[in-house]
Amino acid sequence: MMIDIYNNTSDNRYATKDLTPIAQNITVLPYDQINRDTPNFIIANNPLAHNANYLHCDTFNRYYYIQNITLDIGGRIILHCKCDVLSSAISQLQNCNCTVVRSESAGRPSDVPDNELPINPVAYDTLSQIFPVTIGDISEFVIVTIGGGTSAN
Amino acid sequence: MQINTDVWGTQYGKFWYSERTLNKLTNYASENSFFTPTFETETYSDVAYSNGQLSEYAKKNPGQYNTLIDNSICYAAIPANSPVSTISYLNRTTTIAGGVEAYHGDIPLFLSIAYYGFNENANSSMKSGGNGNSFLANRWASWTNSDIEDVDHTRYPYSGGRLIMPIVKWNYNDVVLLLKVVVGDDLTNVNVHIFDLAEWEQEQKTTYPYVYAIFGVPYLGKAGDRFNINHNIDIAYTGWGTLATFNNYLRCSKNVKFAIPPNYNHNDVYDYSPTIDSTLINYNSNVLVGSRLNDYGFSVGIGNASVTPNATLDTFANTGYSDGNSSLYMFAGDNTIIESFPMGTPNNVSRVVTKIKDDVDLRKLMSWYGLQFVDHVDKVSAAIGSDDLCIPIIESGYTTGEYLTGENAAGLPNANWGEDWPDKNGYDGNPAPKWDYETKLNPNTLTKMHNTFTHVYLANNTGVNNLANWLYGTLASGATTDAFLEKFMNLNPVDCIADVIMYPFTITESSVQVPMVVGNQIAQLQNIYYLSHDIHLLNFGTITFRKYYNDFRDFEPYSDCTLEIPYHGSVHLKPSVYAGHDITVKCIVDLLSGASLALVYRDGLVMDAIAGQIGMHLQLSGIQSANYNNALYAAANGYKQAAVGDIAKTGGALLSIAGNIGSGNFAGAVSSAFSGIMADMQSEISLNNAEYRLEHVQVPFKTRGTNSVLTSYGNEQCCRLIQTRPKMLENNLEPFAKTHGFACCINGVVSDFSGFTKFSAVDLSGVDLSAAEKSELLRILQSGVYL
Repeated sequence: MMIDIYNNTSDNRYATKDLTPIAQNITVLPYDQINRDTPNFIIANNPLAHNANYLHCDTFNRYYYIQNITLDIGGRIILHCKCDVLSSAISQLQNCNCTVVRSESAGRPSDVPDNELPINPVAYDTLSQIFPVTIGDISEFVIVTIGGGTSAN
Repeated sequence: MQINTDVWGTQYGKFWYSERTLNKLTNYASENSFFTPTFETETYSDVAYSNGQLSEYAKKNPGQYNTLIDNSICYAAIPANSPVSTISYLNRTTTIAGGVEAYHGDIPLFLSIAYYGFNENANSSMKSGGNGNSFLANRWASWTNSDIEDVDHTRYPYSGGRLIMPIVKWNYNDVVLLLKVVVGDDLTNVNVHIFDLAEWEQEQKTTYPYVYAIFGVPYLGKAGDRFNINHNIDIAYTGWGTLATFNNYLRCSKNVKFAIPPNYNHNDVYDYSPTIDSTLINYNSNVLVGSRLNDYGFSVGIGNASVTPNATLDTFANTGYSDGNSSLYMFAGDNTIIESFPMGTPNNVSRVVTKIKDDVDLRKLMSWYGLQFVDHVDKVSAAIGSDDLCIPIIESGYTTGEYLTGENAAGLPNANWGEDWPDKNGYDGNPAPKWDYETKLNPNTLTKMHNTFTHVYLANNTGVNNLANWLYGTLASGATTDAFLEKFMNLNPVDCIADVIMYPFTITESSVQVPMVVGNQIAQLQNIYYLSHDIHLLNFGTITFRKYYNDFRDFEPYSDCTLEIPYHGSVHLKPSVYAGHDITVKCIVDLLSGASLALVYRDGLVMDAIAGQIGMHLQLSGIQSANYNNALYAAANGYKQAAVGDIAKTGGALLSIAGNIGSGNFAGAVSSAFSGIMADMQSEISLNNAEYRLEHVQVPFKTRGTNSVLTSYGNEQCCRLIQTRPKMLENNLEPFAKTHGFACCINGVVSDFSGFTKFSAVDLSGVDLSAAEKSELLRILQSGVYL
């Protein structure tokens, strides 16, 4: 079983991590059962590994966060890991159908109300527009009369 | 002006003219202006250039020329050197009519077509009647002689007697661009060659492998009969001497297609390059189409200042030009499209120029223009559905750089843009018939509803005064005979005036003065007119309810809107109903009662109505002639009685004196005489009193009605739309976008998204993870990840 160890500077939420390789093809020395989701990898002493926080295991084909490192007797190093399911699955995830409710790539607010947008709750701009026709410059009168017979109207 | 919201979304409003355009229309004496003062003498008074009238017209009538033609794209035809060419600028910072606030709208596609290079020299030549004048006249002649169907030629004469057309629009399908390429044979020859794309691909590509630019030549007309509007122009490309010039051809939308050579120097190409006012105007009848330019950060202008030397290909060159409200856009090259190379032999590099990369799909490049195009002149008359006609794909208002041909293209929304979009939109092709207020309320067709028992007249101030004077003056002159009064039907004359209602607008439709029936009297008065109808349609005009943010913030509950209508009060309008649409206010006024119903239209359809009272009833006064006559009769009767009593008493006294004398009673005769004198004196006093009362009968008056409340007359006499919209706490949304994303509801596949993304649901089929891992992955995706 071989692992590659890295230094990961990315936020855990990044599907593609910014990794700096530390050591490649390190042989794992299993002496007990290894859990795939939260394995403990035991490797020979390697000072470079002390600063690692991320690894890839080719056997499980998964990426793992190194959550803790234990220096064991005999100079061995135990890497306590937890699977990074997001990075491990990102390549297969690409074609999955999905519904997205928040997106940076949307580029701008949409017609969907966004309660997280930093809108000032008390300040408003006021805009007014005037219609082109104004009345009132002139007065005209309608006169209603009563009477019959002789009407020109 | 309607925007096809199915294609463009609802965020687009009509276009407005840039402030610079308006200034040029106003300041005719400036160097850059085209019009001369004599323009105002022409007959087109509605837009005649006089004291800024055209400017004012433009402010109030944005994009409303030729409204019968499809409005999804705004076209501005531009005779070279015309200042109206800049109407093609669709500006998001133009001051709106009323000058209250700047307008931040969005920019739909636009097309500008110029005939020839626009520069100051030609402009001067034109104004002075030089050569520029003649060649431009030829171009206009080609317009005036054209017979393009459904092309609305809005022609306005200018001082030279020729025609110019400030704005012309076509149906989308009536414009086809012929895609041409500007190519060269080697790097040492500055001469270039122009071919139709297909011709170049099939016959000339080996000889001339370098594509310096592409451009489209517009052909107009219906399918089967299109022709080049520019057919009389011979273009002398080779005389320009440098390849840099051709960069001006390559102007597309969205993804920066205009190349700026690294060593571009404005002075090098000044003689034939655009000036400040022509930056967006191509030479030789080429087209320029932009789409949502500002969203891509093209806040770049070009002016007399030189482009920054050594500008790199993938940056924009900012020349620093700005005139405040309008901006010019220069599309810098993107190094995915453009590459540079040294022109000249390796030892004699005269300049570094650019060309389009060999692997660029020129048809897709052309698709960014958004207009139909063909690749060979033989195909310009191709119809929709033909494999020869390429129709760009436009999605949500953006050109995509993709296109379709044949039957696939025929299904594109823009392929079906037509003149009847306003009716189609929202009605599934089966619009409900609208109530035709214009016809129903047309005085020529309206049936008079008032009956023959009453008579209705229209009068101005003078007419009303004449009526009052006639009523009072006639009576005061002594014409109070029974015969006269009987013509008022034995009533008080003022009772024959049923109502006088004042309106604050012009109703007059007839100059025919008519006699006025008042009871059975006929009054021959001046300024009393025939009123042809009982209902009057008062139109306050149209404005556009503009969006500001073009997103949810433009709607309730975030934004609000109130419409104030004179004499009707305020009405609350839902932004979701009106935002992005035209609002028109018309009032149906019942002239006999003064009641009014204000109709609020959205794009010609009545959406709201509010009742009001616009006519002001006036209080009337007149002589109470019935009481007056009674008083006169009583006084006259009293006088008669007093006169009879006086005679009787005088006669009785004389008889008593005579009787006493006859009986020898002289003392009694003296006494009788004294008594008689006293009685006569008393009766004389009574007679005098009766005569006084007869001569001093007081004329009683009466009033009818009361004055209506006139407070509305003191209020604003035009409609006003008041919008409130939220402010942002933080205007820089870039960090927000990276940490929160923007709320949306978009379906797709994961690869469609990038950056911060929060899912509501994902189908994880095909992902090789355990069930527990999938559950964990879904939880992570729903909480937000960076892709």
